[in-house]
Amino acid sequence: MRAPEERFESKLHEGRSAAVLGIALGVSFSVCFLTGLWSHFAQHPPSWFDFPARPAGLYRVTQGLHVVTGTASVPLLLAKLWVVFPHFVKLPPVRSVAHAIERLALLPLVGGSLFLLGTGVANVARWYPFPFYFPTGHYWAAWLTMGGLVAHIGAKLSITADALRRVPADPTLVRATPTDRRAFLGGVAAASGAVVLATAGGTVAPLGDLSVLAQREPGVGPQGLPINQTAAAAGVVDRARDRGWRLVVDGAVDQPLDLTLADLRALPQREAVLPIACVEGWSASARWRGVPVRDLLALAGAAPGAEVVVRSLEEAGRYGSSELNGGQAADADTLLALELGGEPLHIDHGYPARLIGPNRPGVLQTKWVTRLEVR
Amino acid sequence: MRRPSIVLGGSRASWTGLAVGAPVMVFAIVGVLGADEVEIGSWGRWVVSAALFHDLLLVPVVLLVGAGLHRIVPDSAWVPLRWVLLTVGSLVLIGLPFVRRYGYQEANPTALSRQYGTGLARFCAVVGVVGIGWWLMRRRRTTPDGNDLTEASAIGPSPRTKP
Repeated sequence: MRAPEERFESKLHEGRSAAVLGIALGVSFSVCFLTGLWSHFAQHPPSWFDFPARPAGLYRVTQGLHVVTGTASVPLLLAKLWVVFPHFVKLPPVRSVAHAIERLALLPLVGGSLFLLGTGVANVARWYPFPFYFPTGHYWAAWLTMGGLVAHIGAKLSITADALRRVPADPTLVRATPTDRRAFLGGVAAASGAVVLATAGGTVAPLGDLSVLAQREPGVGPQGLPINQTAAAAGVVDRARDRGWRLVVDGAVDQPLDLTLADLRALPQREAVLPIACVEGWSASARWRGVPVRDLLALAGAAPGAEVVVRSLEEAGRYGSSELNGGQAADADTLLALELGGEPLHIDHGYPARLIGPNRPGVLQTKWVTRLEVR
Repeated sequence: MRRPSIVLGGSRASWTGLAVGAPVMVFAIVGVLGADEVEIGSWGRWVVSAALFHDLLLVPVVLLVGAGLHRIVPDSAWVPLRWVLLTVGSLVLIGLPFVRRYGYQEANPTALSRQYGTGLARFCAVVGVVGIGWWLMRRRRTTPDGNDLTEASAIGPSPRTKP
């Protein structure tokens, strides 16, 4: 009677195909992890790190890359797990204590990888069937998976290196013909390319029509720009339209300010083309016009390099405020925007005033701003 | 020649990987334990369930479907068909929450605004057409008895060649 692993007829269940796919996955997961960490730092900056304001479009690129590499990893991971699946059914399941540890370390790697890709795709589709807060659960699963990946790389380093030698020391690592392997691995790469084409249009505008699974359509939204939260959903419609709306600049300042919308419009304005770059991967550039935050800080007599808490009319909710570090607040293009594309802001884009700054996640571009609290 | 070990303990790299990787995994668990909005039990269940879903359901289904199709399609069609199945399968897995519009909110029509079912069907149809084109190209390269000419010229007959 044949052993379970011998019942897999395809010769692609081999060390060399596993090695190539493993390296590709290692690269894509590493890029995904680093760009995800970058996004985490942008939203939760540690005390030792000031997130930079430049280059202006950097977050757009890193978060787009995060979602694209994650999506491209789906066929890669499925193919890799298929190639090594015979090991899963090998008997006996455990041959030694060391082997048991190695197999146990696969659970966080495999489970974590599938969890990350699954919850990531669900987040891009704005679907949250899980009973935990997505960013936190996703973030810690990334650390779990990377720990498992490092342990796995260590365990498989010698066998991977051997499988990629022209003539491996262990001849059983190479079973498929070069043509079969090329066709298989090329097919996996093409499948990854296809899923990227089908999804990346929210980030890479020229792919817009091809990307049938993109969350957004370029140009669709008020003033030609997509939104993530409406004024109605945020419960701010009446207060945002209230003629008595004021912008308050206070805190660590010499002269607190209390400005009407007319006062703000009378101040020197600046125009900047900046992207809204969502953590879900889509991004879109627009022409914004408003008062530089640094001018408001100077008018109020804030110290150079002061940090600012930007508060919204939206009091409830997770993103009712955001912070500008000294560098971000001092950047000329960090605006309290009053106009978008030459028109007053649509209420869903933050009328009467919103924050827009370079190299920031969209969730930190606070809308319906009512207060700048200087620290 | 020394045969490389495939189990932990066979090399210094194995233990180095575990020495670095294990603390990172512990860091993740401790992080979840200290997180406000993630409960370790439900989070862990999702991690484990993802692995079980894949290993006990998805892969067996894929293997059964693959084995069944392999018996009925011609050899020259198998490689393109396998690519089509992987691509379409990945697209369907990724596209399902879009097609079902689970996350759609009427208040924000700018999100999930496309006709995802139609778009996905068209995209998969294009993948299918590319697969058929690939198959036709492979058929032109194979001899009547099923040998792949490229393969034959490089290293001899394909192992799937029928006698």
